[in-house]
Amino acid sequence: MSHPYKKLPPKAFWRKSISSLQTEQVDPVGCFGLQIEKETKVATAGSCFAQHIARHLQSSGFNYYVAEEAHPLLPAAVQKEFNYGTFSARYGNLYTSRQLLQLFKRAFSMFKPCEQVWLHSDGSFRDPFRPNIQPGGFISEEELYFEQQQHLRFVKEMFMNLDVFVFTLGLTECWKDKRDGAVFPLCPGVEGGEFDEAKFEFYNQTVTDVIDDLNEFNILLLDVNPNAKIILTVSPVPLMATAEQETHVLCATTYSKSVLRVAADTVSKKNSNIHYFPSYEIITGNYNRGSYYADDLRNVVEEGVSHVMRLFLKHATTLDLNHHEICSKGEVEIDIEDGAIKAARELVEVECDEELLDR
Amino acid sequence: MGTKILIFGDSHTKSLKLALEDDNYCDESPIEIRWIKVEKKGKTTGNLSLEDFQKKASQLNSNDMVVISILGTGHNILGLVRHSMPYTLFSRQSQILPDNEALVLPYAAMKQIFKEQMKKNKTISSIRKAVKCRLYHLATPPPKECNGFIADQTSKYRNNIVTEQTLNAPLTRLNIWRAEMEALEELCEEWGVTFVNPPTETITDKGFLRQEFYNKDATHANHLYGHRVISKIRGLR
Repeated sequence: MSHPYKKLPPKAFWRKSISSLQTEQVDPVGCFGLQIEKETKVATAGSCFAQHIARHLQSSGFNYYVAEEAHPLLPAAVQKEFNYGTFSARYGNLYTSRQLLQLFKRAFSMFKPCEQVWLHSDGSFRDPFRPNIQPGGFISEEELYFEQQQHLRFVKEMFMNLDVFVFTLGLTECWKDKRDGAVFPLCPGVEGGEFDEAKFEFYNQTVTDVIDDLNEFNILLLDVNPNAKIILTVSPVPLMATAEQETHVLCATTYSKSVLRVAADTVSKKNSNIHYFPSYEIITGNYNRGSYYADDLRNVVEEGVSHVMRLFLKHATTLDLNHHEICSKGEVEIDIEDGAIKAARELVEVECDEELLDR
Repeated sequence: MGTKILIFGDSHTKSLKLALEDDNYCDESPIEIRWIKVEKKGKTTGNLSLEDFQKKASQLNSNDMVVISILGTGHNILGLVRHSMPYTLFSRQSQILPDNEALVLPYAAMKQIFKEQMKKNKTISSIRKAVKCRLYHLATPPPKECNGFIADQTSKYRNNIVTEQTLNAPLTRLNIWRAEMEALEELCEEWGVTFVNPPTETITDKGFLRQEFYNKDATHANHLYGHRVISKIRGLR
């Protein structure tokens, strides 16, 4: 007797592709229709998990595209602390599809939010759209304004020049400005600003919201960069907390991730330039018996990230894995000794010596 | 017996030494100024090694004072000459004019560069351990506003690339100095050392070193500045 399941490949069967395999052998990636080459400019954004992808791409020798680079004066440790290179521009975590869409619109002067600055209790000024982008915030509104404008210029440049944009969807829950719909990565009042019920409200995005945001973003991106490709992933990191009334954080996590997963699937099926990569399944799949989570059952351990990246490099890139070792630490100390610094150092030394000879 | 004051540091203590030689302070507390001994390219500069200074300073009484001027010169190295990738920065006290060519570097990041560098220097904490009396660290003099003056003073050097055009904008240089001084002040607090700002009368409204306190070079202040600093130190007794 014949039936449709007879013709299906092993990956379509749980026993053949999951329960009979060792954890590290499981490969849920189906046919992946995009190949990243060494020269492909890959930009990243999204929630915390996207940072792992960025880090691995960087250390694997790919053309990880950082449009907003740190000034060479900044040593590696300071660059990291100030979130240079964490993503392709200094936007910090973009948890929701709405944040991504609004970032694009802000960069291309299509949206100017009412909320421009948050004053922190420590006296510093915070960018409402990236309140934790640097330790201690900004020293003045002017500094924030100029740095923000500079940042948005780099974001614009990034969207116009990237080849592949990897975006990790993190959350559906957000805090929204009632006046213009601007959404923030953090609730106003947590890291600066003041929570005012008349101005801000909690909003939990629906699947339609996320699909609409992603479709609109894709149209806008293709408008400025017609060959751009998008890889969507869903962050496997559960919600830290939910603001949804009377809802358990586990249920809120399931809702959020389900919405994001369905939206990612929907837009990737509809748009030929959008591809879904199943890092969410690799980490959350019960085949690994929770071993890819740290003790807090929230953060992902390096072993899990390596599994994701091994499959990412195998299916989404032209990299020869037999001749490549994934390195998780890709920090390189930069040489800050610019000609100007050399000249100044020599001058200062000469002047100091002359002061001494004169004594 | 009055309070003994031992001053120890780098080339910036020269202005204090000249001020002492210049005036009669005999009725005041005794001040001794020594310079860190450094061996470089077969030449020795300075007149007291760090080890000998620590020995000397450890013998002082609790009501005596040790004033050091060791850190705080990084702003000249990083900021005097315009970088090949020009940058500028804001400070709390002064804003900058938008310059499309220059990258805006966060003030906090610049401060952190200095902090990272200064944290590697173990001299101050070792001095703190060796000294029982009050310990102060002097700010370095603020930058000179006049780029023309600086370029004139440095034109004598061979292969000179410090010209009016290659110097950083005065306000950028000032804000770099501010970032370094703020970093130093915060670290001094951690080390248990009191940070001493430049005397207010030596600074212009904008925050630069007043012209009458310029030494004839790019980076140092003169003996008149030294006088003001010594008066300020005496005021700390």
